[in-house]
Order: sequence, then C-alpha cells, then structure tokens
Amino acid sequence: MFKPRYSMLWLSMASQLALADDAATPPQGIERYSVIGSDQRLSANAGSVTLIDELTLEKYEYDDIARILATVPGVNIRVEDGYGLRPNIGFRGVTPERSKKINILEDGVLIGPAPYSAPAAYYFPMMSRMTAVEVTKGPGAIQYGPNTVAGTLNLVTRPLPAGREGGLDLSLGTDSYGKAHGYYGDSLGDFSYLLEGLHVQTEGFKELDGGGDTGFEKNDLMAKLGWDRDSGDIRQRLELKLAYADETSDETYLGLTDADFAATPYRRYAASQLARMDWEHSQVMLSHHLETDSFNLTTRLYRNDFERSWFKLNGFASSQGGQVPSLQEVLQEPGNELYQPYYQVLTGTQDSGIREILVLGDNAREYYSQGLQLDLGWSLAWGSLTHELEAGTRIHQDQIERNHTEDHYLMRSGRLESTGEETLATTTDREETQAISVYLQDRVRLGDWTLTLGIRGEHIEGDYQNRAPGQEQNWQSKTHRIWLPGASVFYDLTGNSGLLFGVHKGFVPTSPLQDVRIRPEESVNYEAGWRYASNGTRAELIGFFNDIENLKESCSFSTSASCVTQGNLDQDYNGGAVDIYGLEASVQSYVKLNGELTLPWSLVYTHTQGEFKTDLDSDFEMWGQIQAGDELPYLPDNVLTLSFGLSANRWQVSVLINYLGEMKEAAGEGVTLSGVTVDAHTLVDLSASYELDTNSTVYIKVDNLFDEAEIASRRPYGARPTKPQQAFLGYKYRF
Amino acid sequence: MKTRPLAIACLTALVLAGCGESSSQRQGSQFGTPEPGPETDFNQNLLLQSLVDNALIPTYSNVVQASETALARVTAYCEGEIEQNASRDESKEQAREGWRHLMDSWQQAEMMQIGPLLDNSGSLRNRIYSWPNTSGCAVDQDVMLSRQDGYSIDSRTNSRRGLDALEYLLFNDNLNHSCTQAGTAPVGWDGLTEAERRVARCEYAILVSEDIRSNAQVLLDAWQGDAGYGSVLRDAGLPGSAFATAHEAVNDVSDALFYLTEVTKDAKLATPLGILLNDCGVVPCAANVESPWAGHSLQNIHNNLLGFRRLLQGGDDADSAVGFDDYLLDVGDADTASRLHQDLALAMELTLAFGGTLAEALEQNPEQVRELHGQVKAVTDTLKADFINSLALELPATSAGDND
Repeated sequence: MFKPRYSMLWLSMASQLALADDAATPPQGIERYSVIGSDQRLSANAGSVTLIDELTLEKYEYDDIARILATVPGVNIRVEDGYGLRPNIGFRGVTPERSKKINILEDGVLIGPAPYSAPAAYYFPMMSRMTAVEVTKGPGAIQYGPNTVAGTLNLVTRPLPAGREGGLDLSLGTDSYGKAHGYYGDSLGDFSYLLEGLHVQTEGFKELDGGGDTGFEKNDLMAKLGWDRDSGDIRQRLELKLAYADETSDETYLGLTDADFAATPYRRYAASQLARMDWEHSQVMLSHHLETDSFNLTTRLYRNDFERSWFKLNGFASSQGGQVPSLQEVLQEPGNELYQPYYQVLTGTQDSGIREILVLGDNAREYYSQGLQLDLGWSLAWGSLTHELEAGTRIHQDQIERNHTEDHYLMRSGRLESTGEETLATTTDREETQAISVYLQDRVRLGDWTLTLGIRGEHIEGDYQNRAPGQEQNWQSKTHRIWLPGASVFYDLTGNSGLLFGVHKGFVPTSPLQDVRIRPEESVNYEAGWRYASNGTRAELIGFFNDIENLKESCSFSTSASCVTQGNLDQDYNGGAVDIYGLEASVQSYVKLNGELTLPWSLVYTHTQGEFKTDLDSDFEMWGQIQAGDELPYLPDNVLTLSFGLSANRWQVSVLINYLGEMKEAAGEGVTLSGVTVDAHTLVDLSASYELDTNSTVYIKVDNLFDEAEIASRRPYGARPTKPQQAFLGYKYRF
Repeated sequence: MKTRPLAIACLTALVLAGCGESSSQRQGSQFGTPEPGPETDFNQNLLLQSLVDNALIPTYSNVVQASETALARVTAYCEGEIEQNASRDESKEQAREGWRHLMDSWQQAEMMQIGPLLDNSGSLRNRIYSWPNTSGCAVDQDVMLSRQDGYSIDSRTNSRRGLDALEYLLFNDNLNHSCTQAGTAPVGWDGLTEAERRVARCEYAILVSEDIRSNAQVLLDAWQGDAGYGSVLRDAGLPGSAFATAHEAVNDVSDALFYLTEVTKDAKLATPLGILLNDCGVVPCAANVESPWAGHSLQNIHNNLLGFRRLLQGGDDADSAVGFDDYLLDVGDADTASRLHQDLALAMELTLAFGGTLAEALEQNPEQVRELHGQVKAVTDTLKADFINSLALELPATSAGDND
C-alpha cells in the first residue's frame, strides 16, 4: 500500500485533540507524514530519521529548538543567546554555525532567508507553533537540497482541521516571560480554514550595566485556507498558507570575560546597551496535492520575504590610528595593560578616548526566497517486487541585499553617545541565485531486503554585484552543476529488527560571492547500523563516517573572526580534508507500573570525533595553525540525553537530563581562543501537566532545574551563559 | 523483466554522478584579486632589488646609525646630569638633537613597514615606536622601576620604551610625574629632589636608547644577508620563493605606501584638524598631534613624505634607481607618475612653510593645516585609484572602506 512521503505535510490530519486524548495509540496524523511511522513499526529506511511529534513537543513546552533537538541523536549545537533566537545547529559533526550547512524546511519548503545565496539562518521559525519536528540524516538527505553533507530539519505547522477545532495556551514565567498562543479552524463542506496567532515576550535574564531590557518580543500569525475535491479514486486539495512573523530583541554578540562570568554570569556590559535585532518575515505558499491509492503529486508555489536590521557592537576604532585590539582579545586578556582601557570602556567604568571609539554596526539586509516545487510518489508492484518511486524538481530563486553601515559612539559616564560623525557604509552588495534541482529515488522491496537508490542534481547559477558607488565592475556570475547519488540497503532480520547500510555524497554549495577557487564542501558519507522496534520499544544504533574532501567555513561577525575587520566579511575559507566519525544510539521504551501509571523513558547518546587530515595555517579564527589530527571546534565527544517520567490518565511529570561534553573553542594554535574549551556540563529540565477536564490542562515547567550557570561558548565575543533557571506556569484550553 | 529499466536508470545515474560536476564563472574587472600584472616586459624583480638596496635597507641602516648617535648623546648628557656639569643644558640639547635626527630617520622607515616590521602584529615596530600608544605615566613608572634589581626593559610594554618614551624623557621639563589616576603614581618619585628626578629620567633614557639601538639592529639584521628579508623580496617569484610571483611582493611594498593615507593623512592631520573625531570633538585640537613634547609633528610628516618618495622612485637617485614611477612609465601611465611627484613635492614644500609647530598652527592658523591635509590627500587619492589600477595592484583591506 502506498505510504505518502513525510514531507507531504499538509495532508488532512486527525484533530490534535484526538492526538492528545490517546497517547498510547499511534497518532494517525503524525503517521501520515512520517517516514518513521508509528512507534510500533520497524522502519526500512537506511539512515537516521527522527520524528518529534506534538505530544513530545507539548511535554516540555520548549521555545528553543536546541532543547528540542537534545532528544535527537547526532545533533551538535552551539548555544548562543540562551533563548534559541538564532540557533547554531549541525548534524553528525558538521559546523553548527548559523545552521548554514543543514536544510531548514517549514512544511516541506526551504524556510531560510536565502538558502543558496546566504544560507546563514538568521530567521528561524517559532517552535511554539510547530506540531512536529523531523530530522533526516544519511542517504535520505539527497531528497532535500542544496545541502546534503549533513541532513534536513523539517518543521511542521498546524494542519487544517477536519472539523471545528481551537485552542488557547497562556503562560507566564520568570523574567516577565509571557506567551499567548491561540488557534481556531473549521471545515465547511469542501472548504476548511485555520487561523493561528502567537506572541512571546520576556524582559530577558541578563542584567545590563546601567539598566535596560535584554529580552525580546516575537509575534507570529498564520492563516490557512483549504479546498478538498474528491472524485472517484482521485483526491485533491488546494491550500493557501499566509504567514507573518516579527521579532524585536535587545540581543547582542557581546559576552563577558571569564572572571566576570564567574562573578556575575548573567551580566551584560554597558557597551551593549543599544544592541537590537529587528526583523519581519512573511510567507505565501500555494499548494496542490493530488493522490490516488498508488500515486500522488504535490505542487508548491512559495515566496518568503525577510528584512532585518541588527544594530550591535562590532568593535573598537581609533581616529588616531595605531593597533586596536579585537573584542575577543580584550575579553580574553582584560588585565593586559594594552587592553585594559578598552575593557574599562566596554564596562562603562571609563570614558572613551579617541583610541577607544565604539563601532556599532547595523547589518541591514533584505532577502527573498521563492520557487516552484513538485514532488511525486508512485507505488508499483510486480510479483514479489515492490517499487516506491519518488521524484521531484524545484525551480528556486533567492537573493540577499546587504546594506551594512557603521556608526561611532563614545562611552560617556556609562552611556553610549554618538560622536556625530557621518554613518559609514561598509558592505553594500547583492547576491542572487537561480537553482534547478531534481531528485529521483526508488525503494525496491524484495522479501526481507529493501534497496534504495537515489540521485539528486543541482544546477546553480549565482550572481554577485557590489552595489557601492564606483564598484559597478565588481561582479561575478558563476554556474555550478553537480550530481549527488545515494544508496542504502536494509535487511529485515526478524520482523522487528534489521540491519542497515547507506552511502551518499554530501555537498554544500558556495555562495555567489565566492571565487571558484573556494571549492564547495563535498564529502562521501557512510553509515551502518541496527534498528529495533517492538511493543512500544524502539532502539537504534548507527555508526557514521563523513569523509569530507574540503571543509568550508565563512567569515562572519558571529564567529568573531578578525577577517571581518580586514574587509573579508562573508568570505569563505578552505579547511582541506576532514574526517568525522561517530556513533548514534537511542532507545526509548516504557514500563507499565500498574493499571494507571506508566514510566516512559528514553536514552539518546552521540559520540563524535572530527579531525583535520592535513596541516593548515588559516586566518580563520576558529581554525588557526592546525596540525593533521587536530579536533574540530565546537564538536563535543559525547552528548547524552536521558528523559523519563511518570504518566497517568490525567497527569504527567517528565524530567530531561542533557549532558554535553567538552568542546574546543578553536581547532589550532595562534588564534585568540586557542587552547580554550567550553567545559562539559549537564542541564536538567522538569515539566508537569494536569488535565482539569477534557478541554483544560494546566502545566508547569522549570528549565535548568538546578540553576547551573554554564558557559555556552565564548563566541561571538566573550563568555555567554546558558539559560538560568526559569519557571513557567501555563494553562491550555482546547476544543 | 520489467524492473530492469529502473535498476539500469539508477545505476546509470550513479555512474554519471562520478563525473557529473562542473563549474564556470565570469567576473568584472574589479572583482577579487586583480588580474596578473599588466602585459609588459618590465622586470619587477629589478624594481624589488632597487627598492631593497636603494630604499629599504639604506633607510633602516640610517635608523641604526642615528640610534647609535642618539645613545652616545643621551649618555653624555646623563653623565653631565649626574656630575651636575655646567654644560649639561648644552649636552641635553645635543641629546634632543640626536633624538630629532633619529626620529627623522625613523619617520622615513615608518613608511616602509614591510616583512619583519609587520610580523607578530608589528611587535618590532611597536618596540621602536609605539605611537599613538604612548603614556607619560607609564614611562615615569618605569623610571622608578628601572632602579630596582632585576628590571629588564625587554619585558616591558611598548608604551614604556621606544622613541615616544625617549621623547618624553628628553623634552618634558616638568619634573612632576604624569600619573593622574589614583594608585598609579610611581613609587618613590615624590621623595626625590629635582636633581635626582632629572638623573632618574636620564638614566632611564639611556636604557631606552640602548633598547632602541638594539631593536634597530634587529631590524637591519632581519633584512640583510642571504636569509634576510631583502633576499626574500629580491627573489620573489623565483623557485623556492615565499611569493608566487614578483607582483605579489610588489603588492606588499605598495601596501606600505598606504601609511600615507591611514596614518599621515588621517591620524596625523585629519584627527587633530577635527575632520575625524579628536579629544576636542570635531574641531582643531592641538592635544592630538604626534610628538607633542618635541613639537616635531611637521618634521615627522615631512619625513613620511620623503620616505614615500624614496619608495616611489626606488631610492634617492631618481635617475639610477628603479621605482614605482618607472613601472608606471612602462605601463604607459606617465601622467600618474608625474602627478604623484608633483603633488608630493608640493606637500613637502607646505610642511616646510610653517613658522612654528603643528600644535601652534592648529590654534592660530588651522587653514594652513587644512591646506597641507588637502595636498597630502591629493597624493593618496592618486595612490588609491590611478596608481593601483594602472599597476593592477590590490588595495589594502584597511584602506578599502574609508570615508574618502
């Protein structure tokens, strides 16, 4: 029987109320768009594919994708602001920086601001309105481009309801946290609609020198309209999705010295008082789905617009010339006689001289991403052989326009005052990409064997234009074409356990700005493992090996790279050959304690090793002088997540314990953070809920139960904390 | 069998994938690294050789000689100070003159920050001269610290040594220390008599002078000999060279010319003029001139221009030396070469036309300083545009985004 592809997300689904009511029964809606299928069934996919369904998402009520992905093996994350406003996510050891090497989809389409031209994910959808999160790694990644070196993260929004349905979620928490989330939908004959709104705000957990907010306000609105048409064996749906989101956050790249972090980890220096991110995002998507029992075709027409302004401290300048240290240097050695005046200015304890002028930059950017995407599935059977053929094509266009400027400020009695000098234009350019991609995959089943062969093609045309006056001839047009094959095999051992093996080619394109001498990142990725599923217990053990031919990184403010001040913003760097290998293990099950009480539990463990294969002397701040065998930065050897709880008919309590191993801040010698590590740490989260009646639930949760103050990383500039203990009380009403 | 075509299709795709990658690009003339040098038979290694032998090494050598003279004069002055010699004022003026001569030599070398002077974030340059990172208080502190056993100037920060420290010691007649923040006053200073303070400062001046001479010699040694940086530049582009092409090395030397933009024009003129922010705001400000104790700012600028001319023409003798001007002539841009020389000469004339110091001019006749700034800017405008474009050289990143 035909099973739809999991990315066909918008199919009509069972009501969310039904999901909540019957936790023991596999939710039908989830099953229809998941490759994993229900917990009870053994997946024949090679590669790790993880689904976090709405029940699990609601269990912890996380807003932060980093905490949500703690339950997924093979995910490496660098925490930055504590709230997950701009997450850094990597899979299987690839660089997590701004999640630029994974594909981020919302409802099956690329959601990044400009996934080809500027893949850094400065926009990330609000997790509170998602009903499922899906992570695909291994050969399955070739269905989703352009990045196939790591995998794909798909976020699933609320589907159109089959009948009248609505819900309200109100929550209050520490640091003036507040959340208001509501949705309402209904179906009227062949038509259905859904309206959803979400507002989240907080004053922030950091304490700004001299006072002021350090939090954020985010709004999210979504409307969906659907029209269903069934005629005989053919079922069709036309759906229009309109979405708008905005964020205003008093967020900065500036952290603390280690000594200040030890004394007051949640302090923020006075020099960050004007920092502010302000963005707006909108999406229009028109989808058409047609299916029969053995065939389906989904067509999506999409357009995303994103505009942002981020005003923040970039560094120091001197109008008297001479050497000016970077922020990272000052924060690493604040006691150094040369750096001390700069440290005192940062903290507002000393006024600026003309050699300690504070440079605040507004990295204003406008993006769009649009395209047409077709995906089809076709089930065929001949005798004992069955084929599940999947194919698709995408015609995509995206663009980024940078209008970066800088202004000079002086610290005066703890407040930032403009010098009155003219605003300086720094980067004024445009990158644009037109890409055509195709994929074809056939899954052949013969007895206990399942063989999957697939291939993806990417044809990418990129254009760069420097838009600064007098730079008309500073442009580049380039074309890149590549085929990315993948193959996997699964052998069903016993009906509830099986062996898998897969291999596929990994690829990360370069942006239009990069010279062709900067090669795309390419790799051959292998994996092999064992999978088990039976009676509510699932287990998976997968070893992986990524043979990366050329690791690629790029210069950005978020890496605190000195290349930024040398005029190389967004320039890519070649890191040469790198091997990443590791083991992903997960097991989840439950213990029935008595007729009412159940103890669900899960254990997720990832071991990863990543090392450079050749010597390298790089200007890139995360690398430096590298000897073959040096480890990759921000890649912990071990990550372990244990979750367990107690659930009864009307209440549940859950605990999540996440251990993150030590990470290097820089790979080699000769850069500011050489030899510096992020210490291993463990964070514990607690949540509980109680059903007042069939419609109402109250919940509490405490993130970071033991209030551990840990350094998340020392980038971009200085030590930055993980989120402190925060408690929330919420009420949900659904009908 | 019906499934065979699918299997064949998949296998074919996999095989294709192995050879299925291609890329191409087109670029505008301003994109990325400039094209390899203009098509000419101009021998860039001859240019480099002339620059090394007639401009760079002679300039560094002059610094060594001037540092030895300065050391001798400071030592002589200090002996007179210790002995309370009647002619100590005269010997102090001799020491000051020694400093002026040394500073003149160094200001030409400032224009020539290439190779060893740039290594380790310019540590050698900063040991010899750390302006604008200067501190009278830090020098006063070390005047006292140097009297203690175990003191070594080698381990001290740059604001406590070098030409800027020596200027403070020789030209500051105020015998009070310069520390204003609580807890920073040099220990024991207040207990010294005026004579003892003079001796303490002059004794430390000897240490500083020795340190300058030592570092100047380190600089010269780094350039001389078969393994010296002079050879590295001369042999650029040859087998085994650190430079892929001679043009790359020429680009390194041209980067040094941009000192005239970033430091001479901006830091030494635009900032005290108030074109860039200074301690007085955006108005003329005498407090922000270079070499304030010696009143030597205009001479510094003049010697920057002399250093620039030495690089432009490949040495002091324009006829025999091979310089950037010859390269410009060879690529057919005589206009740029001529304009650079003319504007440079005018700027040098203007530096000599001041009746007093730069600080006095800023207070009494800032228009004269603006005129000098404008004339230096005429040189740097040509440098940033015509010079770079004609010779297919790359603009230093630090000069790419300024507000000109």
